[in-house]
Amino acid sequence: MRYRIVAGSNVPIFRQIADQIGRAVATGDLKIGDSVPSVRQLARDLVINPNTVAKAYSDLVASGVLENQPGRGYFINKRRQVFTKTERLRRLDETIDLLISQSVALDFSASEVLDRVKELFTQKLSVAPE
Amino acid sequence: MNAWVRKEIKDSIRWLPIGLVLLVALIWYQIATQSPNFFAVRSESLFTLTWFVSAIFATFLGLANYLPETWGSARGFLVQRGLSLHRIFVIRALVNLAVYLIAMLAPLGALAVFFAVIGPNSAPVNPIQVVPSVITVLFSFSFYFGAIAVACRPCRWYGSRLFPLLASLAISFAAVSILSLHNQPGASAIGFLLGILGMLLLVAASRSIFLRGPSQPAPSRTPNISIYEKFMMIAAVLVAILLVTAFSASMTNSYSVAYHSVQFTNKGLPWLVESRTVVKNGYGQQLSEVKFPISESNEDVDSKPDVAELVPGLSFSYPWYFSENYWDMLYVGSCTSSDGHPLNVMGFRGLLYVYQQDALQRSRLIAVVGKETVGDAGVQQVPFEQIPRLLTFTYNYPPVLTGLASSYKQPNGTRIPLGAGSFTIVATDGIYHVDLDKSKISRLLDKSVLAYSYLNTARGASDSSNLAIWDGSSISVFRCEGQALNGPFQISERITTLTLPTDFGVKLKSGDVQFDYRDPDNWTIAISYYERSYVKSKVEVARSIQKEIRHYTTSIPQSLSTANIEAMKREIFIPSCLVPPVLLGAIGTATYLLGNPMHDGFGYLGFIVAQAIFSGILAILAARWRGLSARQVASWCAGGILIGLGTWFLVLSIYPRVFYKKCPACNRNRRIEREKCESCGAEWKPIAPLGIELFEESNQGAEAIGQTVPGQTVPATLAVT
Amino acid sequence: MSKLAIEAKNLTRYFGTKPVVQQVNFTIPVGSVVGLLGLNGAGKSTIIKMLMGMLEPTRGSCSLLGVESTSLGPNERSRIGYTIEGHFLYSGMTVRAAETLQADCFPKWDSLLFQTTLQRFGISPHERIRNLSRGQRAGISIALTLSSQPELLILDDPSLGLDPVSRRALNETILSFMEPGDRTVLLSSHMLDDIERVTDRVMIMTEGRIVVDSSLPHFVSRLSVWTCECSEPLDRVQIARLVSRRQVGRNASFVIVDADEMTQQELHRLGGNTVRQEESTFDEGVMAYMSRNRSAASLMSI
Repeated sequence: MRYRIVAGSNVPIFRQIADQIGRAVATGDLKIGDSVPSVRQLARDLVINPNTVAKAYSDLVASGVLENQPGRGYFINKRRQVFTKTERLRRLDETIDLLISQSVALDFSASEVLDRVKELFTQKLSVAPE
Repeated sequence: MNAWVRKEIKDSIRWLPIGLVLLVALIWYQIATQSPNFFAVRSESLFTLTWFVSAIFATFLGLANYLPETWGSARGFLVQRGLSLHRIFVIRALVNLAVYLIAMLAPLGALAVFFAVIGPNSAPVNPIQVVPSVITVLFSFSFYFGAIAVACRPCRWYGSRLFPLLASLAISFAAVSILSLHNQPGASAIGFLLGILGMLLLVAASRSIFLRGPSQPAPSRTPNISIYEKFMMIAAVLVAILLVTAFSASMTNSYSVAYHSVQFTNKGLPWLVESRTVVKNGYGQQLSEVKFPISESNEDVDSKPDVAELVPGLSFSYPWYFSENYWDMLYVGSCTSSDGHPLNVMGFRGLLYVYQQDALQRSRLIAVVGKETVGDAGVQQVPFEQIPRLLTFTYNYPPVLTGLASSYKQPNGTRIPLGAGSFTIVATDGIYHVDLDKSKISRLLDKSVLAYSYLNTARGASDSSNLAIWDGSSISVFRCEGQALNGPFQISERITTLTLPTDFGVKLKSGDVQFDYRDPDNWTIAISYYERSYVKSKVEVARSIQKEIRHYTTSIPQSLSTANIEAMKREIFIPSCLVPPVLLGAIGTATYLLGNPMHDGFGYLGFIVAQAIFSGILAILAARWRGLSARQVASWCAGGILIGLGTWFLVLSIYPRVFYKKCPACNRNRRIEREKCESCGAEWKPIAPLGIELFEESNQGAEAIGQTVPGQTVPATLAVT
Repeated sequence: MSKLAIEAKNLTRYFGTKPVVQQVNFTIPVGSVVGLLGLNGAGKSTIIKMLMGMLEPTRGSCSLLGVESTSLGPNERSRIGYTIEGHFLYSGMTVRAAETLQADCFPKWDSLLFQTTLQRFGISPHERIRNLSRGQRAGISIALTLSSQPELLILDDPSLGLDPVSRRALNETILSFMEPGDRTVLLSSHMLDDIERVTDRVMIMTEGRIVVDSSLPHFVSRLSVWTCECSEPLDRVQIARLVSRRQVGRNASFVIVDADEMTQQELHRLGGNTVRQEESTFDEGVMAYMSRNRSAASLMSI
């Protein structure tokens, strides 16, 4: 897969990388056990500081998306929860906050939004193998 | 390093044509257009020209190489490399020296070759003429180092920035020494020595200035000013003082001259007459004439005679020392040939080359005179005894005898008292007469000659005259037959050998001599000579009247005249006052003036003292202003007293400005570059935080998990990926 | 403890009586890429000149690779790479001649690296330097600096006036220079994108002092942006640890470091329910620090 980052955007670079990997896992572009580029390789490709990549990877390791196998590199991890229930809820709420404000701005009602969420949920998950 | 050498060569070789073309063009202009007979390239005019060109070119080289490096970022690029600045300085100096020498010496070398080819047969030239120019080229390289100091010293152009060039100027003056070598060998040697020492000093000073680098105008914690730089500036300021002195003296443009002469009363008693003249704007005006009896063996002279009673006798010219070896390069003398064209006589390797100058001023060799024969160029001839020759300014050539003036000693051996196609030469081993028309040389007198005097005593008798010859032990007088200025000339008989008081022979060598000869029994010799210093001189008179020889001696008195003193005082005092005195010299002058009623010595001394005090105070103020330590302030105060008003400027130009701020603890001014306050010893307060500082403590140690700590965890992470 | 590549202790510099750098303290360990940010005249170049020994500190001291800056000798200097502000070069030379000269002055010269770097910037070695574009000159300057294989690289505004392609090449070059891991870079720049990409730590200067010295994520994490509706002028507003504020019409925004409950209360007093908190981006944070004096000059009373 191809990684892209935009410097100077309102998302820090390390988070852009983490987001892209997270999304790829969600959409099935990256499967469990797939390797991601080495820190050095990705830093070179993106022309960014290796520490930034390392920071993104270590965040992903912390959230359980990636697994670091010393000497071999980073791999997509089996999904497991590293967060507590409250933490997971807090993170979900953060995203829903955004969803709600967007929905209001675009003039969608709550039921319209919920339907759409359900629709997309089934669509995405049916494509993505467990 | 080789690449750096190549770079320097490339950088400086492009300036080579500038110096080369300038020097060649000016020499060419002098030879080709100014004078067809090559007199324009006499050593001294060539010397002046080379001095001018080499000083300009050396300055230019220094500025062209160093000034651009003080602009913008060039210095950073120069410094930031694995090559020390010292090495860069050395490489650059050597490369530039090579370029400089090529540019300056190549034209001179070509000129020397040219002279060797055409001289002496086609023109009165000799390769040795370029020697003074070569020496000035060597000494003028001081301007290169001066220019480095100018380029790299951090100060203002309207301040002391150009001052190092004054030091260069002083050093390049050492080259002049060679042209005075003949009459002041000791002074010349000192001149050379000072020049070389000055050059070394300037090299060291410019090196240290270059290494220190141009700093922005700011307080400097360590002034880092080398002792060499200090000395360079002191030298420069002394030169500036000299220039100011000369300028102020020339502005006043009046000085007084005292002439002394010996006159006799009708009774035959000698009187010394001092006549004082003030020269104003080039015109002399007699101020006073003072007469003073010369006592004879402490015998009192009863009364002053009237002026009319004195018979005009001998007058002393300005005392002038001639060394034993009176050296000059080429020029021997000039006379006029029978057809009215000037004849110039040049000496080459013991032979005399006689050139005739035509209406177009071109010189043509007409004869070569040897000791035994007169012939054309290229004919083998016996040379005269050669005295080692060096170089001299033309104005130091002996005056050509007109046959009227009596003059003293010419051990050189070549002199032309007569003209018109035939002339007489006084050589060390005798007197010769050269007849160019008959191509003949004849020896008139076979006697060693240390000095001679051509006497004009034959009052009324135009065809005979007397020649006095001093051979080192006695003076012999010969009668000469023939016209003084033209026609045949011969020495007919020895008239007498004079008996002199015992130590006269010694004094003859160093004194200024007047010789009045009437007949073997009536003659007078007066010598004036310096007894000890330059201040007092003595006069001795030996007089024979009817075979009775009397011996008088006296010191030249300080003038007794009171006439016109007031006017004089004012005129002399002005330049003296404008001089920022170097104390020792000033005191010397004051002592001289104190003993002389023509000058207001006390006033001058008072002025010096006042000025010394004033300079000392100014120096203290300047040194304190520059924030120097108490010891430095004291030593600069002493410097102010010794060197005078220049010290004030010296302190300001050597030391950088200092800046002060109010000390928050004691509320007094404190130096901003010192860690502690000079008055209360408080340290600087830490600046108040803005309240928005954002520091990551983990820069010194790890803080949060997942936080990358620069330099510590990252390389480890990278190693495993 | 790891070795220090750069150390500044109480570094202070005046021009005349004007302080340009005031009591600056920082250390940069070996292996970091540090970005030095600040407006023109904030003192960045002065600090770099003092570090390089081109300018004498008025007080305090600084050292590179453990050697006092004022006494850096040829041995130390050949271990340091320095690109001068404006990329000064001997412009009469060809690129090759410039390389020969530099190779002569640095013992560890890497000719291959030089060629590679030139290629990255698209420069032919036969060209005369004065005929090259600004970007290419910067390329040569960087190639000359890097090929001496320094342990410490100090870049004074290298990207000034560079086109995007050259800037990318510059970033690539700096990053590949860092790969061995035992090297250090101090990069002064106005290009926030470049700093964000390349460095792992930033220092921000205002008025001759360093106000921020932090890794990038940490820097962003401690800042927050607050917006609210507020019609009264902000001149009198006093909020603790306020870095900068802006007001466009009724919309006011504040960048605050280490916001806490107190901050929230203060803002509520000002904007009531319209107060919103957001994360700060890197750009916003840097801009807030650099522009703080321009918009909040009267807020110095904090």
